[in-house]
This record gives sequence, structure tokens and C-alpha cells, in this order.
Amino acid sequence: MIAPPKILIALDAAVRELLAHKFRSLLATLGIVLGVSSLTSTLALTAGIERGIKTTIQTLGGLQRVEINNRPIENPLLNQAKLSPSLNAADTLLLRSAKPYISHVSAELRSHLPISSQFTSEATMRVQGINPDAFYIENLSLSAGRFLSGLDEVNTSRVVVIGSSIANRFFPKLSTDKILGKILFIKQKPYVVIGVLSYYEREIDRVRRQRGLLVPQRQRFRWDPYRLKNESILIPFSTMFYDFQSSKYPRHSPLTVPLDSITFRVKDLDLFRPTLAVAQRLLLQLRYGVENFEFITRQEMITAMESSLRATRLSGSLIAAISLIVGGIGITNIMLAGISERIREFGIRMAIGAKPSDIFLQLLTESLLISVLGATLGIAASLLLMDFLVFLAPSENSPILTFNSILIACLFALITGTLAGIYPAIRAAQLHPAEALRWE
Amino acid sequence: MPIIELKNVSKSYRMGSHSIPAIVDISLTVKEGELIAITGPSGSGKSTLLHLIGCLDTPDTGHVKICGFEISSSSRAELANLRRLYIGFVFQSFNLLPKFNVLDNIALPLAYSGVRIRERIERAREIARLVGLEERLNHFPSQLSGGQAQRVAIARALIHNPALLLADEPTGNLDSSTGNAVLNLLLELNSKGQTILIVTHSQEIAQKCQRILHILDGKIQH
Repeated sequence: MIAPPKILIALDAAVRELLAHKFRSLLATLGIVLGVSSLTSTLALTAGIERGIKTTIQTLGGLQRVEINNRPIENPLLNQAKLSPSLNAADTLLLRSAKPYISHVSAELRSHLPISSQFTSEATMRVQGINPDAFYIENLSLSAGRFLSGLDEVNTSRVVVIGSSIANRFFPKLSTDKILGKILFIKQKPYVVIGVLSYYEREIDRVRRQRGLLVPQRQRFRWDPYRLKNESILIPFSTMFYDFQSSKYPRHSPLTVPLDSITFRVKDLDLFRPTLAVAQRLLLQLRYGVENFEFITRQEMITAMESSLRATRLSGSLIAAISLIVGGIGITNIMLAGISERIREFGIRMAIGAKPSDIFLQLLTESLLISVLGATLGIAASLLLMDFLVFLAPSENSPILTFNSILIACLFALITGTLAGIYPAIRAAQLHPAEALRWE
Repeated sequence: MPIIELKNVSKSYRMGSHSIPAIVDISLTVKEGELIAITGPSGSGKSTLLHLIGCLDTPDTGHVKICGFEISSSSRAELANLRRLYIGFVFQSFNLLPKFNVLDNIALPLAYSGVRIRERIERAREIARLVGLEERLNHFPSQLSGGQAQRVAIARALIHNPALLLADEPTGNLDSSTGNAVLNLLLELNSKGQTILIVTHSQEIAQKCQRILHILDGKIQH
């Protein structure tokens, strides 16, 4: 155990030494500054990207949204394959019965249909026939009006809820309140607009718009969940069937018509896997054990994101590690040079009673002090850098500097400082007091 | 108990493949309160003798006892402890730490003994008053005259009440009047009972000491 005063002498000596050579000390910290700033920046940037993706997933219905799609059967010779139906509305009833696991279920029929209004000519757009539960499954919000209801479903009402892009396109120059009650023609059939969805956009675009900057038009072929939401045309499931699908499936009812997909919301995220298992068992019961469907979850997106972020983090850490090693070597080098200038000082200290361990401690404190200084400057530099980046390009992925990443960076800086100081400290501690005193 | 006890001590230095004897078979006893001058031409081995007595070095053969402790088999940390407890050094070139002011220079040995800072400063002020430096406590070594610097060095050597004060050419870098003042300070300390060993070229100084050891070619001349 080293007595506290010993550490204080070492600290005192180290501070005096660093202050006596301010510029040299600053240069010595450079590698640590680079290492720490690249480490914290990497951690902050990846944390920002992670949050950005999670926010996106949240707007897409969150982790709790699960989609069931039809899947072609791998072995078509299987006899049961012909007997097992594809996804249908009976499945949604069955899934709804699993209340403890599944909170909302919606069937979906999709179709591309010609759309027009009193203001515009026809254009082919995607129309979705859905159940009212979709409101909760997709985390939707309305800027005006109401969403589809169970009564619309029962009455097969010709009502429609539209996304804000659709509203702008087919009812130009009308405020959202004025659009309510207007007629949207879907394949020449009149639908009353009962609701307009909120405008969905990426965080970056919102910030750009608020600053009065130009929002770039995204390329249309790119998968853009925000655009898809803004171009929603949502009508009741039963209306969708009777108006547009019954001629295609004359022998079917809304309960038996083959669906494009079923979406549901998992009640409790902690029970995510069990919920999928329950859903799978229920669906298999109606299909003679043939698994002609698949689950699409955000969990897979998260996994993919995490593995790519891990790669980014790894490469960033590699750069940081190289900088830290170079920085450590720099400290060692500068300290070795400093020692040969200060041999006499060590001789004097030894003559008045300093033990080799005291000299060792003094030099180690010095290198630690350099690395602490470097870490502090590095964190400051990365904060500035990130502010600059956010200023240049506001983004939904704006970096987040967590206390943990600061801690990690400091830890590595301290380890580097210790390793860098050990060799010079040993060299100084091994000096022979009589010879050191004679040194000119 | 004698403060210094040397028995058949030899020490040589290695120069490439040669071994150069610095001191050869020296035996010596110094009692408490003595004032001793060590004289001799340069290269005669008097510095080596001083280093051995000052626990800065260990002998090749023979026994060195300082205040009853045998140093020939001591570790470097044990030697440092002996220096810290029993020995004060005064050098020809003062050897003050340039980045420390007078007060900090004087107080430094106490820091290595683990004395708290308040007490260190109190004792440093006291000892500075003793050597007549109370006006210069916040000056740095570069702002001091040679005589003042050597007083600081003496104060630093005395602060821990050493059993033995070793002075290596304490007046060598000073003009004759300041040299005399420093010497008088040492004589005054000796009159209060301080054991002092002075290495010097000057016969004038040597004559003022009770005992003169003349060293030639590593041996004490009688």
C-alpha cells in the first residue's frame, strides 16, 4: 500500500514537469486525443444509427408488429399441399382467439386500382383492404377525421382513409379538414374520405423543412417506408372484397378469400417467441401441418442492423486502437527523451531519500497524467466533431455520446498511459544515484 | 556507537575491461559530533568515499556501518531509507530542483518521509530562519545568489535532523567571502553537536576541522 503523500509527491512532480514543457506535453497527448476521439465518435455514431433505425421501426409499427405472408410450399408433391388453404380471414378469427398473446389482428387485401377525384385525372395506386385493428398494429395517427370502424366493415361502407401525399395529390390546395367528406373514386366507385393520416417523414427531412432548406425528393424505386405510409389508401376489408375481388373469386366469401397478408400485434414483447409459436400452431391446425406461410418480424431487421453495426464498431475501434498504440509509443518516446534530460533531478531526489519505487511512481503518474489530458481533449474533440457533423447534416441518426462510451474510452486511454509509462519509469528507477548525481 | 564505521573497504570502477580501484582497504571510525575534513587531489577517491558513507553506493569488499546499519548487503530501497533517515547532502553545485521554490526545495525530503504538508512547511520555515533565508522563501533557485543557493541546500540537508551531514566541496562554487559565511554556518552547526564530513580541496577549510583525512590513490595517508 502506497501512503497517500507519496502519490501526492508523484502528482506534484508530474504536474510541474508537464507545465514546464507545455507544448511538448500537448504533442505527447496527440495520439491519445486521436484514439479517444475516434473511439468515442465511433461509439456515438453507431449508437445514433441504432437509435435512428429503432425510431424507424417504431414508426413502422414497432417490434410488436408481425406480418404473415404466404409462402410457396417447398415440396409440391406433398398431398396435403393441395388441401391446405392459403391465408384467409378464418385465420384472423383464430388468431384473435389467442387474446393473451395477440392484441390486434388484421387481414389485408392489396390491389392496384385506378384512382381519381373531381380535381384530377386517373392514376393507378395501391389500395389496401384492412380491418380496423390495423390502426394499432401499424401505429397510425390521424391529422383529421376518423379511422375505419367495425361498423364500416359490417356495412361494407364505401369509406376511405388516405395518406397525406394522396390527399395533396387528389385534393390539391384543400386543407385536411376540407378533404373530409369529399369523394375519392376508386375504379369509378365513389368512396367518402373519412380520415387523413398524419404526414410521415424522416427526422432529417423534418429538421430541414423547419430550417427552410430544400427537402430532396427521394428516388422512387428506393424502399421508403415513409413514402409508402403517405401514399396509403385504406378501405374496409369487406368493401375491398365485394367491390374489387369478388369477380376474381366468385366462389369465395370474405371469410375464405385468399389474403395477401395478415398482420398482428404481439401483446407482450417479453413473450415474443412464445407468441410466434402459438400463432404458428394455430395456423398449422387449419393446414394439415403444412407450413405454407412465413412470419416477417422486425426482430430480424434488428438482428441484421446489430450485426452491421458491430462491424462498424469493430472497424472504428481498430482505428482507435492503432491511434492509441501510436499515441502510447509517442508518450514512451517523449518520456525517454525527457528522462535523459532529468537524470540529475532523479539523482537529487534519490540522494534526499526517494526510493526507486518513488521515482517509478513519479514517472508513471506523469504518463498517466498525459493520457488523462489526452482523453479529456479527445472527448472534447469528439463532442465538437459531432456537433459539426450534426450542423452539416442533420439526421435522424444524430450521434449519442453515452456515459458508458466515455468510460470505455477513458479506460483504454488509462491502460495505454500505464503501458507507455512503465518502460521509462523502470529506466528512471534503475538509475544509479551516485552516477545520476554526477551527470552533467 | 560510532556514526560511521568502515572496515577494510574497497571499491573499484569498471572501465571497459579494466577495473580501476577507487578506494583500497580503508578503515575509519567517526563518532557523534565530530567535524572531519577529507582532502586529496581529484581522482584520489574522496568522492567515492563520500558516496559510500552517504549510502549512495555499496562497497565491493569490506563493511560499512552507518548509524549501526550494515549497508554492504542492503537493497536499493533500504539504502534510500537510510539516506532519508540519517543523512543530509550538500553539493558543490547546490543541486536544487529548478522548478521548486526555496520553501518546496527545503521541504522535499520530508515529503518522502510521508510527513503531512502543513508540518513540512512549518519545519521548512523554521529551518530557513536558521540559515537566514526567511526573506527568500518564494524565490526560485535561478533567482538566488550562489551563497543563498548553498544555504538552501544546507537547510534541505538539515530539515530531517540527520545524524550525519555530508558536504562535497560546499564552497567550491562560491567566492571567498560567501564561502567563509557558508563555512561559518557549518562550523556553527557542528558546535551545536551536528556531525559533519566535508570533502574539500582547500587547506584553509581543512585546518578549521578537528580531524583531517588526506586521501591519496584510494588510501588514507597518516
